[in-house]
Parts: sequence; C-alpha cells; structure tokens
Amino acid sequence: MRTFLLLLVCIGIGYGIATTQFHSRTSGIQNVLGYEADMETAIRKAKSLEAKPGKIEVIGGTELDFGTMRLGTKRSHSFVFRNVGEAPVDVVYKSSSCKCTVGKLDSKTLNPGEQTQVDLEWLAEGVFNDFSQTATIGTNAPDQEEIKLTIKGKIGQAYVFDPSPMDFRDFLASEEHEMKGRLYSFEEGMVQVTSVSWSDEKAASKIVCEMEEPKKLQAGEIAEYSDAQSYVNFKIKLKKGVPSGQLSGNMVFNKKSDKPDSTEQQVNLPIQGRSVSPIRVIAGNDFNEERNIFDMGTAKSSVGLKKSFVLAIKDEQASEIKIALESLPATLEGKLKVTIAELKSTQKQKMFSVTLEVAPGTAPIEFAGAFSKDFAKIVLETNMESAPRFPMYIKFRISE
Amino acid sequence: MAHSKVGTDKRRAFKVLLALTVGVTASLVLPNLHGDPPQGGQKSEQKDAKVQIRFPGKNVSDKDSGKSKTNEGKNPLDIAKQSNATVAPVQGGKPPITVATSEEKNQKIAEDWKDPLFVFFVTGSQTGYIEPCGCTGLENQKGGLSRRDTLLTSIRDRGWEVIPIDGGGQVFQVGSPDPRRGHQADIKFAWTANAFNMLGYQAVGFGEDDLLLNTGDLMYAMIDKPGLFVSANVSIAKDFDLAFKTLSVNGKKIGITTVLGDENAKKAIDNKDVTIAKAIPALKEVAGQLRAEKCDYMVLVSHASLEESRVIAKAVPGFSLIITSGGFGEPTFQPEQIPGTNSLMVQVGTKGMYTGLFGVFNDPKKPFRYQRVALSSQFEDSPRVTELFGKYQDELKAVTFDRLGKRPILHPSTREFVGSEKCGECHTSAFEVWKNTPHAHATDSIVQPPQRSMARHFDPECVACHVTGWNPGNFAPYRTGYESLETTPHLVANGCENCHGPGSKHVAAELGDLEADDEFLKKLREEMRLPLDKASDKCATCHDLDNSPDFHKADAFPGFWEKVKHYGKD
Repeated sequence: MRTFLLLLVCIGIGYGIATTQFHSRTSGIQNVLGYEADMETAIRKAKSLEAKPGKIEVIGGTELDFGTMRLGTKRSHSFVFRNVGEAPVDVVYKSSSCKCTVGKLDSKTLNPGEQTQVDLEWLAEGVFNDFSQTATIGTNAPDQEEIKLTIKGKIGQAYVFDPSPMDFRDFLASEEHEMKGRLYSFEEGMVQVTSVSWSDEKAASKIVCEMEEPKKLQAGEIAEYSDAQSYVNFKIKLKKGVPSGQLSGNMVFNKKSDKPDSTEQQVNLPIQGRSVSPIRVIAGNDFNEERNIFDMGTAKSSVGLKKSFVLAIKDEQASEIKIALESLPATLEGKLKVTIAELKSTQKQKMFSVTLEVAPGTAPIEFAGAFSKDFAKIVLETNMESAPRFPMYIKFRISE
Repeated sequence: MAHSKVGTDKRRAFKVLLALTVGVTASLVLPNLHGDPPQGGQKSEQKDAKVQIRFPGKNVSDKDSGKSKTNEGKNPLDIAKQSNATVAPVQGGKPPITVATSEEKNQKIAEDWKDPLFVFFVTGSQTGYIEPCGCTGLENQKGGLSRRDTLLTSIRDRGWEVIPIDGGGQVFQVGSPDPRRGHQADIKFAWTANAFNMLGYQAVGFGEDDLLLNTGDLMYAMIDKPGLFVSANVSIAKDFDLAFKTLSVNGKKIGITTVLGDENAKKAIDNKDVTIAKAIPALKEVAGQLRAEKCDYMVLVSHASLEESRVIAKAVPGFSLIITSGGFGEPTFQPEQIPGTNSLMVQVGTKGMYTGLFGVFNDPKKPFRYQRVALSSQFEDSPRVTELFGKYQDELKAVTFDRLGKRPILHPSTREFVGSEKCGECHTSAFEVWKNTPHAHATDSIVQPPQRSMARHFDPECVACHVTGWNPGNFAPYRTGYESLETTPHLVANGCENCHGPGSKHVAAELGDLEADDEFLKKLREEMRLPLDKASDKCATCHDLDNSPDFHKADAFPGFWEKVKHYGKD
C-alpha cells in the first residue's frame, strides 16, 4: 500500500512538473496569441509564429559587379528590397564604407509584399584598379539586422595617349614639323575618332591631326597597356607659320567605340612647344629677346661704341641665305655704322656677325627710354620667303 | 527574436574578438603605422618598383642575393648607419678632395721664387664650376674664377710676367635628350669667356663639352675676343680659327697651341658644325710652324687623357711644357717628365679647384719651378669677377627657366605637389621639426645668400635643390613644382615632398576629395613614406660630394638624420 501510495505521489509530482513545464512553455504563446486549451494547437500556433515574421529579400542579390568602369564615369545600381515575410519590417540606411552615394531609401517600413529600392552610385575616379565597396542597410527582421550591399568592379582607363604631352620643344616657324602619336582605348569594341580639333583658335589653322585606321589589340599585346582593346595612330603636323612664342593647348579628340551603346567622349592630348623665328640674335644679355632690343650701352663721345652679335639663321637652303641692311633712318645716318659679315654656313644654318659702331667724336645722342619709339631701329633684309625683313631696336647713349 | 538576439550577441562578441584579433595582428604585422620610426620600404618612384611595396620592419630585400632580412627591432640609427654605405662614404677619415684642408687654406705662394722670366698660370677642366656656391661653407670649398683672379692679381702685383693659359672644358653637359644640358651651358660658357678676357688669359683650348654647345652661341662667346681661343685641330669658323699663338716676354719668344685628344673628340661628333682633325697629324703641322717661328719655349695644352697626352708628347716632341686635362681629382705636386723627350707635363685637376704656377727662370741649374695652388678660401673673391657673374645671373633671370630649356617634366609618381603647409595641417609635429631645419630656409639661402651678394634663385643649378618640386639630377622642374617666388609661394624651401614625393592624391584621399576605402588610403599613405634605410640615398641627390662633403664621411648620416628627425602623423 505504502509502495502504491509512494508511486501515486511520484506520478503526481511528475505530472505536476510536466504540466508546469507545459504551461510554462505555452504561457508565453498565451500572451501573444491567447490561450490554447490543448498542446497540439499551441505547438502548431507556435510553429506558425516562428515561420512568419517579416523577411527582406534583395531581388537580384546583394552584390553587383560593375565590371570595368572607365575612369571618371559614374555608374549606379538599384538594389530592390522586398518584404517576403508576413510581418512588417523596418528598413533604415546605416552606413557606407565607401562614400559611394546612397539614395532613394524611401520607405522605412515595408509591410509584407511591399518593396523599396536602394540606389548606390559609384564614381570611378580613384587611381586603383580594383574596387569593392559596401553600404549597410539595417532591418528589424530576424537574422537580418544588417544587410550589406556590395558593388565591385575594376576601373579601367578609358584611354591613354602616347606620348602625352606631345612636346615639339623649340621649333622653327618657317618649317613644317610632325610628331607621331597613338591613342589607346580601353573600352570594349574598336575605338572610333569622330572628330579632332585644336583648342586654341589662334593657331588652329596651322595645326593638323591626321588619323589612321583604328586597330584591334589582343590582350597583353602591348605589355604597358595590357587591357587596351584597340588603338589608333595619328600624326600631329605643324604647318609653316605657327605664331611665334609658346604653343600650348589641347588637341581635342571626340571618340567612342563601335559598340551600339557607346557614347561619345571628349579626350584631350596636351601639346606644347615654342615657335621660334628662323632668325636668332645671339648677344647674351645685351639682347632683350622679349622686346627685340639690342643694348649697346653707354660711352663718351670721345671713345665711341662698338658691339657685335651673332645672327644665326636656320633654313633648308642655308647656304643661299643673304642678308643686308635696309637703308638707315635719317636719325641714324652718319652716327651708326652697321657691318655684316658671313661667319659660317652649315647644312641647315648660316651665321653672320653684325657689328654696330658709333665712331669716336660722334655728337652726344640718346636712344634709350621705355618705349619702342625711344630706340633706334634698324631693319635687316633677307632673301628668305619666310622672313624677308628682320627689324630690331638698338639702345645706346653717347654722352659728352 | 530572442534567438536572433543571442545570435546578434554572438556576432557582436565575434566582432569584438575579431577586432581584437585584427588589432593585435595588425599591431604585430603593421606596427607603428603613424607613430614610430619607419624602418621598411615604400613604393619606389621607379617604374619597376611596383612589387617592392613593403611594410615597416619587414623584408628589406637584399638586392644582391634576392634574400630578405628584417630591420624589425633595430635602432633606426643603426639602420641609418647601415644604409649610409650606399652613399659611398669617404674611407679612412680623409676628407673628400673637394674640401679644403688646413694646409690648403694657408699656402705660401711661390715664396722662394726669385725673378722668374715669366710664370705660366695654368688652369683647366672647370666643368661648370665657375664659383664655389657656399652650400657647405665657402671655407670648405675650393675653386672659382673669382679666387683665381685674386691669386692672379697677387702674382702680377709682384711685377712678374704672368701668362694665364686654360686647357678647356668650361662646361659639362649632362643627360639631356638633345643631348645638351640646355641653354644655360651656352650662357655659362659666354660669361666664362668674358672672365678669361678680363683676367688676361693668353690661350684657351676646347674641351669636348664646349664643342657640344650651340655653334652660334660658341661663336658669340668668341666674337669679340680674337686670339683667346687657340686650337691646332678644332675649327669653328675661318674667322675664329687660330692654330697657335706667339708671345714675346722678357726677350723670349713663346709659342702656344692646344689640341683636343682623339678619344675626347669622339664625344663631340654630334656637333656637325665643328670640324675636329686627328690630334697628332694636326699638331705635327702646327709644331712645325712654331719651330719655324723660332720659339724659345713651346707650350702645348692637351685636352686629353693622361695616357693620350703622353702619346701625343712623344709623337710630337719639342714642347717645353705640356698642360694636360687628364688625370682625376687633384693634380700632382710636381710635373711629370715625359720619357724620351724634354717635355714636362703638368695636370690641371678637375672642377677648376687648382691652379698650377709654372715659373721659367734664367737659371741653367734650375730653369723651371712648379707649385700647385688650391683655390681655397685663402683667396678672397675678386670684386670684378663677382660683378661679372652677377650679370650671368641677370641673364639667367632674363632668359627664364622656360627658354633655358627647363620645361616641367612629369614626376614618376604622376602625382602633383601641394606644398609643405598642406602636409603640416595633419603632420603637425613633423612640420614643426621641419620648420626649424635649414631645409625650411633653403630658398632664402639663394634669394639672400649669407656669404654672397648676388641672388641665385633664377639659376636652375641652384634652384633644383633649394625649392620644392624639382629634379636635382637634371636641374629641371616637375609639373606643378616650383616656378617662382610669386607664382608658387607654397613651394619655396626644400619641403616635405622632395623626399616623400608629391602629396596630391594622399591629401585628396584623406580629405575625402578622392574616393578611397581604407585599403586605398593605407596604400596612399605607404607611398608617401620614406623609410630610413632609403633616406640617405634620397638626401644624397642634393647633399652630394661637392655641396655637402661632410654628408659623405663614414657614419655621417645618423648625425644628419638627428637634425631633421621626424616621424609620420601625430
């Protein structure tokens, strides 16, 4: 009997514990879904509860490979967030590791079945080849506290000029000059140059670009530009008569690829150099090249003045070059003597000495001041078509 | 949600653990990214150095063996000592020959010479060193036309007949595409010729680099100096050519000629405007003419190597004195007797640091005496030569960097210069250190030189090491480098970027103007680092043997580094 009673007590305690445990397991559900009388219903409802919170699905995936982007171009992508769960989900922008632009996060709460989009925009302006950037979107859906959106790709240079800049250094305005160049394109398809123009109107008629047919490149064919897809050779020609002084500007190429979706792009090749006269006065710092003034200095009347300089003239027919003095202006008659002598003739250059002399005893005279009219002026004549006259100013002072 | 939270907590814990791990790992692998002395490599500016990105304290590769060794844990100064070996320190504690010794500062000039008939004042191979610049202190440097004039005048003041002769080689053409250094050499040659004229030189020969000058400029330098340039085998133009020259001094007839050696002449063949005949046949003809002139003394200037000068001397005997530009560094103390001849040969040395005095006496027992004189600070500057070279600086200013051919070149890194002030906005401690170093006043020292009267901030050869953004090797500006005091005030002084490279991308990335993730930011920072084991090579591009001889003494680098020591970001 005792044994039976003990067994009953144990069963009772066991049932009590089991019941307590069951109630403790179902009591939480009771708070949310109401009381369920039987365990089966409670378990079914509990399972149903676990399966149907809000859930975010990113349509098309959380990662996008932009592929190769041209330097300086923008590309964007819309990541679409849809709530495929059965409870509302809050969606909020949290952070971006990449400083890429995040836009259009309109809806902050997505009800089941609703969707919104998150736009990521990336400007390819770094100097590194590969990039991989993320933006973090936070949600309150289970296991989706953070959803990382990743964009990645490669920045390919859209083009490269070789050489760049193109430097003609000092070139003679009286001669034609040309330099060869090549434009490499990293875009898919064959490069197409639709037009070329010179940025500076001043010399536009004197600078010409001649294009050749574009050519396809195999991967790695040019080691230095292994990713280049195609190239086009060209020649920059400077015609005779480029205005003297600095040549500095851009040859503007309008280019695209032969792919249907290719858009035209403007790319610049810097070109520099200095157009120099075929006639050069070599006189050290006695000659002001900017103002074309030769400074003989100052002397007393009793001593007089004498100074020489070298005139170097470049021409294809150097040996044929002749120079002479045009008649002196009345103000210099009898005061300034100009002597010209040939020094040497080489294949492309002829050199003359020019000696200016104010004889001792010449009355005091002054050709010095701030303006051109204050100086003496002489003009040298040549038999060169490109430079028939060469005027220059002479500065000197003869005192008592 | 509770499960989710636990998961979140786990992730957070994992993140913390990961962060700690990463942090600890990073602290082991990348120690002292900003705070402590750099000890490793940086991305070199050289194209082929892309694979040489190294982290501090790791993998300092041994170029010869291809093996690697670590500097981790070593004292930076030990590394500095080790690296200093690449600057070729002067051995044995002997100062470089460019540094004047105490003996050279206290020379007694021809003190026991009595009544020479005349004295040949022998110079040559100036190779562009027209004056000691004062970079390392004028008292340490030797040479210069100004001191040369002072010595010359002091000898003339004794009433002696002095006959200055120069062996040629006034300028030095270094790597340039054309292949001349540019127009500065033309101008320097012209002013050197002016100085020779002023000093009363009787004969000047040609060096091969002189003949690479623009022919028109060469002629201009000669045009009003008839009889100054003499050569048996170099022809510039018929109006200028002078194969030999004779002088009558104290009843003696002296014949002088010069010759350019065949080996040296080969280096001048690019100038088609100049004709250079074979040395020995041309000289034989001229020697015959001199003999016909019945000269008492025949003098030959041989711009050739020592060996070729000896060959010439033996092939064309009869010259009492041969002056050679051959030999390296210091000239010998005594003339060399050419075997089989009666010729004595003296050397002029290099860089115009020395003058040879060759006295001729009416003394059958001792007809010749010779003294080598170092042009040390013992000789003051000659005011007239100083004034003359002031005009040289004026001309450089008037011509401008551009017309001197100093067009900006692309920096190997392709980056641009921003100026030291910009660096100092973040690297405040390093900037404070720099501000108190001579580097911060490098431009001031050429605008208002402490030991000189004339400014030199229009002289590319000075500017290259005294501003920010020039290449010291070829005296040319980089794009976006220093242009002038007015247009690029942010690039005055020898600034941060001369050693660390142009900072444009690093700055843009740090300020958010350039898209950069952490990895890229780190990469750009690494590119700006100049590790200590590379620093001495970089320093030596300006602290060269001429301008900073002390830098080249053994174990000198740690002392120099101590003066400018700075590390990374605050």
